[in-house]
Amino acid sequence: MNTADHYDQEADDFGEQARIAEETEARLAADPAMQAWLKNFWGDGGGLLAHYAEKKARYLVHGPSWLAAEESRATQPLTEATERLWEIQQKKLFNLQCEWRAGLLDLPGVETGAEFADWGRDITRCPLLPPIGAEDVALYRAYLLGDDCVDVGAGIIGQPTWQEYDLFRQWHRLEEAGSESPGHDLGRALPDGMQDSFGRLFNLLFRYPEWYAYYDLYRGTGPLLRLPDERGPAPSPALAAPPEEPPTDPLEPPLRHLSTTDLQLSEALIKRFESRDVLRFMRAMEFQPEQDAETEAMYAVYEELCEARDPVPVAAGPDWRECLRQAQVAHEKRTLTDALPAAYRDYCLREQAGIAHPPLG
Amino acid sequence: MSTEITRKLAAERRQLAQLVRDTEHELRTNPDYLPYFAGYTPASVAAFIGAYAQRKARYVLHGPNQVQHSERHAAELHTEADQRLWDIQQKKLFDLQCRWRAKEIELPGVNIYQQFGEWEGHPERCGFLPPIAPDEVELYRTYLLSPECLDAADHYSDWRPDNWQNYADAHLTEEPDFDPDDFYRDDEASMNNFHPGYLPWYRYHDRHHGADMLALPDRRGERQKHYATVYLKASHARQAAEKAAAAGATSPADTLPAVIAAIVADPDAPVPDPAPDRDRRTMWGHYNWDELFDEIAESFDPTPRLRQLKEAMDAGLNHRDNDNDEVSKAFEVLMEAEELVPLEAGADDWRDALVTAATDLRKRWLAEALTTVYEQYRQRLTLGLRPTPPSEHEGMSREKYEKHVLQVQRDWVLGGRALCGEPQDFNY
Repeated sequence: MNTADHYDQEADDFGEQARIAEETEARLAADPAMQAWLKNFWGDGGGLLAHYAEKKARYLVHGPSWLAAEESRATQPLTEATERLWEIQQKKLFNLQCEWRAGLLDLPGVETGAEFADWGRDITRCPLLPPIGAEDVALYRAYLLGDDCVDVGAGIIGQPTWQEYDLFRQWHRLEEAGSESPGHDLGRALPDGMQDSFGRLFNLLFRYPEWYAYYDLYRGTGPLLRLPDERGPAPSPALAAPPEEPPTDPLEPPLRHLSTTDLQLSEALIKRFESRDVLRFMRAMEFQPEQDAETEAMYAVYEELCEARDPVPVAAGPDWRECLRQAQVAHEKRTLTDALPAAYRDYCLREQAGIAHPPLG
Repeated sequence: MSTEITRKLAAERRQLAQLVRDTEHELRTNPDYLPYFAGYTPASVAAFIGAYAQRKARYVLHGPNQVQHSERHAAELHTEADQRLWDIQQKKLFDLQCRWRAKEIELPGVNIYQQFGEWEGHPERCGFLPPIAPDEVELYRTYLLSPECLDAADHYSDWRPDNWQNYADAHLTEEPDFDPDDFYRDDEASMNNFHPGYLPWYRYHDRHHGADMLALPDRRGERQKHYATVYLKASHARQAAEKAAAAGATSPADTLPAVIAAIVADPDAPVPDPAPDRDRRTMWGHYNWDELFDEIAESFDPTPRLRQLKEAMDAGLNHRDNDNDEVSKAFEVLMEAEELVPLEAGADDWRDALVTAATDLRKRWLAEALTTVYEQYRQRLTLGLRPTPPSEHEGMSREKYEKHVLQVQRDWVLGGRALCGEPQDFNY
């Protein structure tokens, strides 16, 4: 819905609210039984019907979105726990991938290594894996509650891909060789200005998942990663050489991308074309204390904590921000682990009944 | 929210929708904008125009409130420190009130206790109050930083005490009951006040000076109430008699002197009600609203899903507005801090820990601001200027208060004295 339509929708809602209120008040006022009941109050209950009608109209018009929010809040932990449950299967699939690539086993229907990435994206339907066992869930639960699990918390992006065989191996190899930041080491050949962002992005997307490392530690599957890749193509050397720049005409610079959040241009336009009031409002609303990444992350932590209806314990510490961050992570981990048994029970019921598991968000 | 307001909101949103469309159209078609978009890809310019129109609508919708909030917020600490400086004078004035009521002292021009209520709004004009001394500021700072000061959270800055000279509030030990038969209500505890009982600053001050102002007897106040009650009850009896006469009762004028004599002899004796037929039913506003709502909905207006929607919305609103309101202010205070702020103690709920940390921080900021405002106060005194008043006085002007409150009270007291056959002055 675009912005104008959104405001139109709000206008419709308020109009509907006023209509319901007026209709209700008029109908009740005309009801003799109601008039008799109102005699119980001082001044025959003047103003009571109008108040009731306005409240009722508000509930009917705005209540559904509050109800939807309440419902989604109630089911959120179960949804997340269900998604997390499938990380167990991702690791098992990754192990299979290592063994298959090393030629240790054959898998029905699998012909190329790329198919593992496909199954990774459709993990709930992958037929290659044994079902999730209770002992798997227990291991995952222990991992989730421990310090090894770092992808829980407000504003933290979870693992986006699970079957990146080459990149995971590359990252892992560098880490084992003592690299402080494999992403940065891999980006050495890039131009100066790009190295840092590349390194960070690479670490974010392609680091060997903490859950995999934890699983390896407790299940002894670490050596699988060192098996040779007999079936895959030769690793791509693309990262070693800087990308070739397309030839450009110095007289005609290419068109640039204009960001929707370009506040400088917005301010220039407002100064030139709008009233001074709009400029004043903009300054009051946009140029508050600099919203750096850390500030934004803190707001995310705060908002998550505000959502909690139950008390969330916090420990003392020298920096309130860090205390709050830790409290939020611990709370989210507890909420997730509390929902794990129900997620697993639902999984088992579907398995037993032979019902397909729903695909992930 | 009245239906009228709802309709206004609807119209306002409709205008915003139009504003968004007009803005987008203007940016797309007015050639004056072209130079600003030169060098950008058409797709990104189109996306920018959409975002720009959205932003502009947001500024127009929320800007006025935000501007007001920012301006208030910027001056808030200084303003509050300025107001708090006057807490010192209020306590000194309250002590004088107690001693005056106990007949320990005389005060120039003071003959009824409502005058202290008048000074409460204008302490800077109170001639008999000595100026604020440095050691008094120091004592107040110590109090402010102590756990005894309970009103320093940002949450409370809007409702600082406003009953500094309310003698009955100060003596209150429990919630006051509403007494409909109390004739003379001018000296009763305020209903709905956020700071019942003896104010923490007063208690702190007394302890520091080894004083107990609450123990002093209210000699003058009780006599004043006695005379005013006699006068009001006699007026009441007179009105009842007049009404009875109008209704054709037999010569009520004959019995009136005896009734008044009885009132003078015993002001506590009950008097005839001049309006026996008044509406004694309870206002609906005093009932439990949720129960009233459910009763109407179930008995007169059954509506599918209404209860479910009400519960969800009330729960959501309650969580947003009550559980987190205080916390959101605390969070904003802490986010402003440039220094590292510790959480001194853990807590079962993060909200408590956050509010405590923010309040402590705010107390330190206020204590610093107090030094500055005291310096300004002293400068004004040195220059022979009147200190800046604690806040814009709301309510009646001094002249109106004098005419409509103080003079009326004085007349009641003098009238009561006349009925008692005593001299018409305040020397009781």
